[in-house]
Amino acid sequence: MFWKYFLFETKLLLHNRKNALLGIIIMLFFPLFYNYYSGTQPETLIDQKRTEGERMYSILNQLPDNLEGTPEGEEVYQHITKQASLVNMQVYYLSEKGEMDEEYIRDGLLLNELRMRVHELGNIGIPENLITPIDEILSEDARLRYIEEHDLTIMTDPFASSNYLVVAFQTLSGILFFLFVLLYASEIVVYERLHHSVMNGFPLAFMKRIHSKVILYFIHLFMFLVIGIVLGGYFAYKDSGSFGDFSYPILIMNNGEYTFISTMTYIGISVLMLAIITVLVLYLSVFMNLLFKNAYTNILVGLGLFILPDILSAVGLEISLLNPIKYLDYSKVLSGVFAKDWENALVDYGHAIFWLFIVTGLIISVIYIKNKWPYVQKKKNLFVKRGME
Amino acid sequence: MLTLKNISVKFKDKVVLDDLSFQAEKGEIIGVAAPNGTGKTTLFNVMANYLKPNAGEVIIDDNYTYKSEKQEIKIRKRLTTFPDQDDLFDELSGIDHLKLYGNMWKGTTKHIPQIVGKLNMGNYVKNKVRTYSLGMRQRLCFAMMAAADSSIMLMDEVMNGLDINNVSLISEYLIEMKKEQKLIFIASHLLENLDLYADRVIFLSEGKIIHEQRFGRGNDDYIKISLDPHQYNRLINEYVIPDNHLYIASHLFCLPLKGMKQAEQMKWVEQLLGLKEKELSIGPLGTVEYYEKHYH
Repeated sequence: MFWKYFLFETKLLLHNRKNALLGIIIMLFFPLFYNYYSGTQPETLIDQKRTEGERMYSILNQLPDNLEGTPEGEEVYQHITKQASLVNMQVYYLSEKGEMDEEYIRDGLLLNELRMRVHELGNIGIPENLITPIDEILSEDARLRYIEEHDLTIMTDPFASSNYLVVAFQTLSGILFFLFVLLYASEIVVYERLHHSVMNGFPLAFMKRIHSKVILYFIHLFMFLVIGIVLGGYFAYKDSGSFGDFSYPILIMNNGEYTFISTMTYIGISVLMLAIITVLVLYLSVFMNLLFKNAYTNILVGLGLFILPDILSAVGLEISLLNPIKYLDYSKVLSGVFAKDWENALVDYGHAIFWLFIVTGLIISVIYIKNKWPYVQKKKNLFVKRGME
Repeated sequence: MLTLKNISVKFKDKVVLDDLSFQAEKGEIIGVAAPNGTGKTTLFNVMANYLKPNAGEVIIDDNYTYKSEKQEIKIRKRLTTFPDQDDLFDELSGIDHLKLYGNMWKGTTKHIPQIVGKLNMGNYVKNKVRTYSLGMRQRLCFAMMAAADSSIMLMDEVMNGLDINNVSLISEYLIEMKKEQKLIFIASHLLENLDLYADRVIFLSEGKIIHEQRFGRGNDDYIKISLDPHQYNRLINEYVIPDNHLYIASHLFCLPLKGMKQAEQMKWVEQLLGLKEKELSIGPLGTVEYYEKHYH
């Protein structure tokens, strides 16, 4: 029965032009976004190193004249001078386009070592705004060691498939994807009102019908999404001439510290997060459809929920219970932005997944109770009536 | 098979069903006659649990009520309601709808070609519903009920938009369903048509069943003739008319034959035939006559 109902719902969904159009839009997001992205000029590693070099000169220029008067000051001065030299050498190695990666890593590791030593010496004489933060030094160190360990190339083409897909997933994360799923599922239950005398009396449990809709909408949406990812990757490959390196490290926050994972793992986690968010938003849409019985309200209330933590935060109300809503912007969870903002090292993707599951479970429970409630009321009334008799 | 126990439905101060009780058995077709707004659809909605009554309960097969979802599903397996033709899916074909109902209730679609054949739908059933006329849609709705083949069927306005041929086709189908021991409730404005297949017709007014007409169970015969009020007044002035006569809706004069001797019956026939150009008939009162009696 469930399977046959599922097949009927499939037929309806396949005839639904709105959902087909939205499916095509999400599918085209990846190739179209590439079109935009390839017209931008993302900052390359060599640009970053040049900026870093300028920063080193700026430090040197601003060091006090009497710095060398103490042994610590003398050591700091020597290290800063050495660091400036190492950064310039790194720029040179990068200009050799992969021929001198080993040297780049060697100097990079030394550079980080010196920076840590300068920290130990208390950054004497270095202007506050020019001090390289410790977590930045540690993450760069880890990145270089990861590249060395996995024998990877330093310079990567930002337009190659692997790099482009990471940027595309980061762009899709948050309100864009949330709004998309809201639109997609805005009539997930409410359309039945237009066909209620056909659909109302099926001999199938309410929750089974709801689960079948969610499963179906999920498969339909993800089919378009996966095709879109493949298309986007292919477009990037055709344009840049390279698939890039899917084992290249990407920094994420995990278990309270910054760690590196491969691009492929990052994409895998992104897809997993999108899947979990899709399921959550589908059940949320079911609930709002049942509650408001209107597709537009579904979208408006959904958006309201999404921005609720920011609105409350703007008026000085920080409610940590609402944090799971923010996890819908998973790229900020992965990058550690939330962990840093909330000063909570526990906030990583595992933590976000756990909470997104909890919220989904809560929504399913509320839907279940909402359906069961009339029966409970009926039994209660019957009990009262019999008591009176 | 289906029992309504003290059902009451109120919308604000308006009582639509008032402590209504009723019992129906399998193999029965029960007509529900009442003007618009007197609770026919409400009664059907309560039976299908689309509307929760303020009081009372619906009991199916002496066992099942709508008190839990589990029991409701058991009832749903036994009960179907007539779809509204506006609720059909325009972008799907008739056969898609039939397969849906066949699959959901019978778990098969093997019987569908036979239904399509019986209801002469073969020439259009594979087209999209948006191309159907009102009559075609109505036939499809009926075919969906047939495809579901449940033991209880609630059919509200089943004959809407059908031409004479199709009314006849569906009437025959209903009689066949009755033979298969289905319990069918029919609300229809084609009152004469109900006489063809209904075992009884209930008349609703002010939330209660005010009359239940049973067919084929020794109903009393009447001499029936249409008279305008002027003719009726002349008749009662000229003759001594039995007190139990009826003058329905100011146009139908009905004289009960029960208790009349044959000679007296003949005398009345002759006297009434004297009113030229009027058609006289003898027989029990039909649904139309009772309807007019109760609502006009």
